[in-house]
Order: sequence, then structure tokens, then C-alpha cells
Amino acid sequence: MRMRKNKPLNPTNVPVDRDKRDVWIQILTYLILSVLVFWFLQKFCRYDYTYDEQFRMFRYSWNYAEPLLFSAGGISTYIADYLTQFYYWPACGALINTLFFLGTALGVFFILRKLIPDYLTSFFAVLCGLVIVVLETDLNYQTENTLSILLILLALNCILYAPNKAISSVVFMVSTVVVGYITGHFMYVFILGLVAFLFYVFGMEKFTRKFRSKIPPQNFVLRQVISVILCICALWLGLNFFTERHHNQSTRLKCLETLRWRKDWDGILALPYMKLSPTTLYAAYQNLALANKGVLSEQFDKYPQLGVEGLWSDNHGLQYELLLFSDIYFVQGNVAASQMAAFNGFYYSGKTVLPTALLRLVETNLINGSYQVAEKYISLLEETLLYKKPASEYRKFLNHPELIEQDPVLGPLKKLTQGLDGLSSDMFTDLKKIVQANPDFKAAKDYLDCYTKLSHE
Amino acid sequence: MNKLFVYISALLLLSCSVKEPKAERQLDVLPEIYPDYVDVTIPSNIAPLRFMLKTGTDEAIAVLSCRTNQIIEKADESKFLFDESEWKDLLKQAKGQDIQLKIYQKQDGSWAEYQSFPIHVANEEVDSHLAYRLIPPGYEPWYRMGIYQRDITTFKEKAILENTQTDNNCMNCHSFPMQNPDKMLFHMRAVYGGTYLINGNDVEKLDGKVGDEIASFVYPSWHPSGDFIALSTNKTLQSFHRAHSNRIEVYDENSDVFVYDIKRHKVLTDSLLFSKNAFETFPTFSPDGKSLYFCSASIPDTLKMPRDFKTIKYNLCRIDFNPDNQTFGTEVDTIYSVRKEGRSAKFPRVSPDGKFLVFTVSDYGNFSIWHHDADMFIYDFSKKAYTPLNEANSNDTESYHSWSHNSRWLVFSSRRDDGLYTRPYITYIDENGKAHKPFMLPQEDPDFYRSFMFSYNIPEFIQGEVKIDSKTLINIAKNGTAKQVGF
Repeated sequence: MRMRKNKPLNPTNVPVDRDKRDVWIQILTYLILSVLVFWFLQKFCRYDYTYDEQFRMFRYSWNYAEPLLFSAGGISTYIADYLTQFYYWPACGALINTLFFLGTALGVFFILRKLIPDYLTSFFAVLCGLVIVVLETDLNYQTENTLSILLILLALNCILYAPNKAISSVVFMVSTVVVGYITGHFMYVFILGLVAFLFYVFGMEKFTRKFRSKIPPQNFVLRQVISVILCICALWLGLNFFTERHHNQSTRLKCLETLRWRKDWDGILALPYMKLSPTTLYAAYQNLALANKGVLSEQFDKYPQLGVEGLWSDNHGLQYELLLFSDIYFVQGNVAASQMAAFNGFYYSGKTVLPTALLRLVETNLINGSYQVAEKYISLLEETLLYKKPASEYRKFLNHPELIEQDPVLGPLKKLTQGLDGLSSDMFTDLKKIVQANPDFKAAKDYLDCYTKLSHE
Repeated sequence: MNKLFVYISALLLLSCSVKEPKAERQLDVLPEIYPDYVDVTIPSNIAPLRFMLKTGTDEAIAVLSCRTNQIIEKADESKFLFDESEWKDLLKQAKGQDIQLKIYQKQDGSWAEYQSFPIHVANEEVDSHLAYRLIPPGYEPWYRMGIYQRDITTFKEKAILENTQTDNNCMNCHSFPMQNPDKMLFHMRAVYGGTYLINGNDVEKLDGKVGDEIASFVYPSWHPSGDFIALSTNKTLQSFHRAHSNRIEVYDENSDVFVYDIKRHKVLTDSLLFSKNAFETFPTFSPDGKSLYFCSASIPDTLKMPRDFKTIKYNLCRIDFNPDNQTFGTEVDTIYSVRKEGRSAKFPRVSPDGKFLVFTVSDYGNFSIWHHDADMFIYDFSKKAYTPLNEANSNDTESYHSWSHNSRWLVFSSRRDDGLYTRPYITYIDENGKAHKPFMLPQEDPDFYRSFMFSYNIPEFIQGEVKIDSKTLINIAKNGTAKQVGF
């Protein structure tokens, strides 16, 4: 009731009922847009999310939580890590990002509604929401930034929509401390909060109202129609971006990596671009898939081959190359090289995450009899939601070489390493030595045969 | 609100009223604790030795007592997190004596008491700080690393410099003269490459390349006067084993030793240190500054690396050094002989009182951190004999070590915790050169090492905090001109 008496809280020159209806129409519009955004994200970005999942490792342990919770900005990292683990499951990434879109758009909408002509607010709000989901597909962008933006938007809304100045000032002060601590951006929170607070205290709406009333059209229905059209335009811009990037190298790579992590070898071989636009990198994935299916030698000729580099390379400087080659060396039986590549991939960014690389390190350390360090990695993985089960299954092998020898994957590799010695020189020489010492090890022999064929072409 | 107040008050009261339980059963075993602090010898100024019980998460109580002082601590999810001020009070009284530690655990509803054990508190304090590099224990590439310092009387750790500030380059070989934190040397590789000499607030950047003979400065050791630094120059390569628990092999294809004269910006050397027929490395000065110790491996003409990596073994040698006229002696003494022992010596470090020399021995090579067989040996100058430091060694790698200024404490890196990640251990060396059971550097959370994914590299005792601001270092690294060094 108080709101009706207090003019600044109904800044537009439209009746309150219509204003409320306007808001509900906007919210409904956002919900419909969100459904569309979700559908598009799921269609075009699902591998962005599954790929991202590997680059954080949320652990359910105080040891992990404590340094984050007690440092400025750490809580947003903690939440980001927590949310990212769910990216593993289909549609969860798209759903969480749709919520980011909706939260940002609504947060911006309600702020702008106070500041600028109302029917343009939706356009800007949708645009801001889309910018966030676009940024989220960039591997270098940190999800904690999105969480920070959402929290800051929430704080600004609370300041602007407080029922009176006293509460607004309290919200301003509390949010500077709380949101500043959670996000680690004290200065931004303070400055933006101060601007919002001053806007509220000095009734700046008196000035902006003048502009609002002058901007055509005044017809309510027409304003809504223009608003929706602009929103669709913003959405179209964003979706165009996604469809464009859906075909680029980076997105394809994320898809390949996801399938590799999940050992979906048929999925890799079924990807259309493996045959339509082959590269040595794609060939390496494809041959890895064939080797894991045990048909590399038999089906090698049925797939595009682009020279020996499509089998493996000694030069692997990038993280995804290291992790891919770790798998290739592993299937070849070169446990030491696989361990080296997985280790370097694991530490690549300085963030010690990548649970699948850690699982590989568990395997290589078990094979090599380094049980203490294997146990360390198992314990870490057991603190995660997704990798607890596969990690725990390795626990039985600790200090039990006889069980390792009986395992269908680890056993043959353990036996194979016992026939090797000396320092590694290059992967081809290592492979030859593996085949010489273990002529029955099919994957290694297949790789060597393919190498011989390709090097003669 | 009132209820909350009551709960908090009740909790506070409860936490204050932990009493030593009456054991209904005596267990015939020592408690399994991590880190292993059973029967260790510690300095009286060390941070609390917080530990956790490895056997279950049942209710547990630890009682630490020495004379009239006592700490009774209830386990927090099996962790005994002793309060810093209570711990300090206890250690003050326990100087030169033992703290008796009893652990009670509730098992099947009744209290059981483990065998008690002592923690020995030495009379001598340890240097207050430890400087180390934190790196992934891995292969050639580096991504994140840094040089840090820890106040070991508390749990505070600070970065001296992190490579995130210097384009993720490599930084290594931090070194201090006589544990003096005001003077420091370290190198940066790749971007901003050079050797950095810190003297108070002044930083000097040196170009490590000297003529065609010296490509870069590597393993350093300060002269006690602070006027010279003994260094090696090494062409170091790395490979990994096809199947061996040592994983990685780091070896030199060439190495020599020289002394850098800080005041004259000159390199001093001698054919006995800079020979084509031998790999000389790991130089270190004696505390009187008149002897230079180094490791030297004879190399046959047919040597081919890495093929012959297992045949390279280093003697431990000594040569006179005269700081007044900057000359070397004409004879080299061999302290540890490959011919006699059949193994390889490295990392000699003389105690500041000049009585002992600790070095590392492994079957071959010079980069012992990757050799599980590597152990520390101690050479007693009065007896002219060396023995393995059995009380400090383990079945796994012991490698780099450094002395405290009072010669009673030795910090060393060891892989005994999990076989891969090196951790700093501190051992008490008594007046007879006997080591006592070492303890792992205590952490605020006793579970810290289990999930910490970096190795502690080159632990060096220092007598206080390194005060140089990292911004100054970065500024010199990025904008400073490297001083050229000549012969």
C-alpha cells in the first residue's frame, strides 16, 4: 500500500496495475525465452559443459573447502566448482547456464526498469543474459565471474527496491561486505552499490522519468510487441553465434575429448567430420578408438589416414594433446610415456584438477607398484561425487600385485613393463621394444604395423 | 537468539571441560598417527605438532604432559589441533626434556588407552624460517611454481616469488649465506632469465652466460663472507625410464665449478674445477671459507649420454680456497671415493660449526631426488670418517638438506611420505653427529600433505623472514638490465 503513495517507486507514467502487468508479461517472456535458450544450449553447447567438467574437481572435504571458504572470492570459486561437477550429466550444463541467463536477464531488467525507458530494458537484459552464456562457453572464462555478476545484480536490486532509505543503506553496507567477500570484488560491489544507493536516496528517478515519458510509443501493447521483437533479435544474435561456433575446431575438439574421457569409441568413429574433414588430430582420435575396440589393424584402411602423425606424435605441447597421447601410449602398452603425458596434462594449467588424468595416474602407479602415491590419488578421487566409485574400485589393488596381474586391463600392462628397461628415447623406438618383448600384445603390434604402412606411403 | 546464545555457551563450556578419561583397557600398541611424531626430537620453538589418528574416527583424547604443564585435547574428526599458545607454553617448560603423550580412544563405548610415547624437546632452538620451492614433482615442463617461506614457529607461509607473476617461467636454486635472510640468490630461466642477487633491498640481475665456457649459473653456495658464491654450470638433460620405479633420470652432459666474485663481477676458476675429463658440480664452502667442497665424476673418452647414465658416479672432493688473493689450492682431496665405495656422492653441506659434512649417496648419477636408494651420510671431520645417517634415512629418497645456523638441526627433503611428493623433514643432530628421529614439518591441518599436490624442493633454513618485496623482484626481472660477468 505504501508503494502506491510513494511516487518514485512507480516511476513510469503508467497506472500501477498496468505496470505490474507489464512486469509479469516481461517475466513470462523471459521464461519462454529461457526455454528456447535451454534448447539451443543443449543442442549446440552440450560438449562445452561436459568438457568444462574436467577442469574443476569439487571435493566433499573440509580440507578442500576451508581455504576457499576463508578467502575473499573463494566462496564463488567453491560454488562454481560445485555446480560444474553436474555438467557431467546430459542437459545439466544447459540447465545451469539457462539459469545463469535467466538470473542475469532478470537482474538487469529490474535494475534498468528503474533507470531507463521500460520497453528497451528487456532487450538489454536479454542481451546481458546472452553475453553471460556466450562467455560461459569460453574455457578461459571463469564461472565464478558469472556468480559474482549474479550476486552483485541481486545486491543492487535489493538496494534499489528497498522499502525505505534506512533499509537501503543497511543493504548497501551489508552487501558490500558479504557480496564483496563472496566474490572477492569489494571495490566493484562498493562503487556499484554506492551508485545504486545514491540513485535511490536522491530520487534520481525524477530525472529519468522525463525521458521515459517522451520515448514513443506510448501505446502499451505496441511497447510490449517492440520489446518482444527486440528480445527475439537479441536471442537470434546469440543463437547465431552458437550455431556458427558449433562447427569450429574448438567445439569439435571438446566433443572428441568428452567422448574419449567416457571411452565412447563408437561415438568417436560415428562423428561425421572424422570422415568429411579429416585432420591428423582427428585421425589420432579415430585410431585410438579403433585400437581400443581391438580392430586397428583390421579396419585401419576403412578410415581416413593422414600419415604417421595420425597415429601419435612425439611433440605434444597442449593439454588436450598430452591427455590424448596419454591414452594412445597406454593402449600401446607404453605405461611410462602414458604416465608422463597424463602427469604433464594434469599439471598443465597449474590447477591440479582433471579427474580422468588422475584416474590414469592411479592406473600407471598401480602398474608400476607405486602404491602409496596411487593411494593418495584414489583418496582424492573418493572425495568427489562422480569419480568416487571408479577410484574405489582400484583400492583393492593397493599392495596386491597378484590382483593387478589378474586384472584384464592392468594385468597385461604390468606383465609387459617387466620386460622393459632403459631410458625412453622416442615413442617409435619404445613401441618397437614393446613389440619385440611382447609380440602377443595386439594393440602395440597394430600400431607398429600401421606406422610401418604409413611411413612407406 | 537466546537459544543460540545458550547453545554457544554450552558448547564453550563443554570444550573447556575436556578431562583425561579413565581407561578401561590398556592397548598393547602405539597409536597410528599421521604424521608420525612418535619418539621424535623437536626444537622448543616449533609450531604445534598437530596430527591425526589413523585408526577410525571414534571419540579420542590426547594428553600431553611435561612436569606440571598439560594439554588435554579432544580430537576433531580424528585430528588433534593443538592451540598455538598452549603448545608454546608447554614447550617452554619442556625444553631439554620429554613430553609424554597419551592417546585415549573410545572403542565399543569404553575408553582404551594406547601405549604412551615421548616427544623429546631439545635445548637448542631451530631457525625460525624455512625457504623452499613448491613444484610439481614431474617431468620437464613447468607450469606453476614459486619460492616460499614458512615461519616454522607458526603456520604462516608467504610467497617470496611465484612464477604466475613472471609469465610462468622457471625459478630455482634459492640460496642464503649462513642462513641470513637478507642476502639471497636465485635463478630464473627462460623469460627474464638470469641470476638474481638480493642484498637487503637491493637486487642485482646477472647474466649467467660467461664467454663460451659458462652457459648459465646453476648450483650455488655462498662464501661465509658474503663476497663470493661458488657455482656450477651444468648442461642438464632429462629422460624417463621405460619401466623403473625411479621414473625420471636427470643427468649432466657437461658440468664445471667456478667461484663468482660479487664485488669484482668476475668468475674465478681453476683447471682442477673446470676440467674436460670430469664432471664437477655441487660446490659448497666450508664455514671458515678456506675450503671448497664439490663433487666430481671422471668421464671416459667413450662416454655417451644418456646411454652410459648409470656409469657416472661422483666423488666428494675438497680444494683449498684463499679468499684474500682469490686463488685455489693445487691439490684435490677425495673424501668419498667412488673407487672405494662404488656409489655416487652429491649435495655436500658443512655444518656452520665446521664439525660435520652431510652429503647424499645413491648408486649412480647426481640428481638423487629421483633415486629411491638415495640416503644421507655424515662425515665427521674429527674422525675423518663418514657413516650413513641411519636415524634420519628411510627406505625411500632422502636428498637435499640444509643446516640450521646453530648446527643442531638439519632439514632435508624426503619422499618417504608417499613415494613421490617430497616433504621437508627436520632432524636433530647431536654433538656426536648422531641424527635423531626426524619429524615432518607440521601443518595447520595435519591432513594437509595428503591432498597437497606439490613437492617441497630445496628446503633452506633461514634465521628470519626474507623481506624483499616481490614487486621489486618483478620490476628488476622485467625492466632491469642483466650485468655481464667476465673472467
